Amino acid sequence: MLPELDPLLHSELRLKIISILMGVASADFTHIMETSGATRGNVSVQLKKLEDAGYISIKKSFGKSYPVTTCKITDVGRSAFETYVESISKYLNPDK
Amino acid sequence: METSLDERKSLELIRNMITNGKRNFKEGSIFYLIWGWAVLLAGLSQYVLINVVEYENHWATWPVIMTIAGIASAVIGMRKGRSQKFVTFTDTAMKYLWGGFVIYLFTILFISPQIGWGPSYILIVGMYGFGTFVSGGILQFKPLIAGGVASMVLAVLAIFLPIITESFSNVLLLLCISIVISYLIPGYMLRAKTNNDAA
Repeated sequence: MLPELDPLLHSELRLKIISILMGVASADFTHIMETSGATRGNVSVQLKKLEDAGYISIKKSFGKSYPVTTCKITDVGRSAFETYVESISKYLNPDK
Repeated sequence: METSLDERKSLELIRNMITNGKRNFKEGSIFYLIWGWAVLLAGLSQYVLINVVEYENHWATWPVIMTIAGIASAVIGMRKGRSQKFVTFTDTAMKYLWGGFVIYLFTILFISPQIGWGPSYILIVGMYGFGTFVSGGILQFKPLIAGGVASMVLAVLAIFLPIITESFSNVLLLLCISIVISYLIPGYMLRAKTNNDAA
């Protein structure tokens, strides 16, 4: 039987965000917005959902004259991402 | 708005997003050049003050040049940090590596009155050779690896060569040679490669 996909990650923007954060130690809001190609509001909402699930941590600080939001994937998020990748691999190669 | 995915699209999306986190790691050449020139100038000036001017406080140029280099590095580092939209694992590894080096450096400077300036400088040469070697491995840049190995070998050889250990001036020359090999030459090669990659 094929595994159930994590509904939190099986959504385009949230998967983009988690994938971006998997490849770096941390990333700021602007980078996530520019790389994902999504709007500020949409990114904001999805970040909140991922944070509430414990998949990412968000730190707010002040840059030169503007607030900076820095996001980092947590161990829970990393493990969920790995499980998700494993699951979709099974969907693509069900015989393995 | 949430868009659902099929499995193939998910994999493609993951691949595309992770690739975006790659950076041209060779942008850090400026720090090798700043510290390379600072150590070379300080070492040579101390050599001249000992052997030509015969000035008693021949070490005096070190705190001045190191402070200027430290301020320059801090300013450039902060500017880069501000414009950086993400931090890679390489950035983090380099931060801890060179942070550890600075702690070690101050420890050596602290105990140098007990062990002597000559042995202290030799230990520092070996340690920045080690730092350059690891940096080269992280950045996958062979001239840095080679420069690091050369400095570590020079430091070990220096311990067994009386011509070096018996003369502080010769230790200074060793320090200058090793900084050219492990910082300046690889630093300029790194910068040339960065410029070529950008062109």
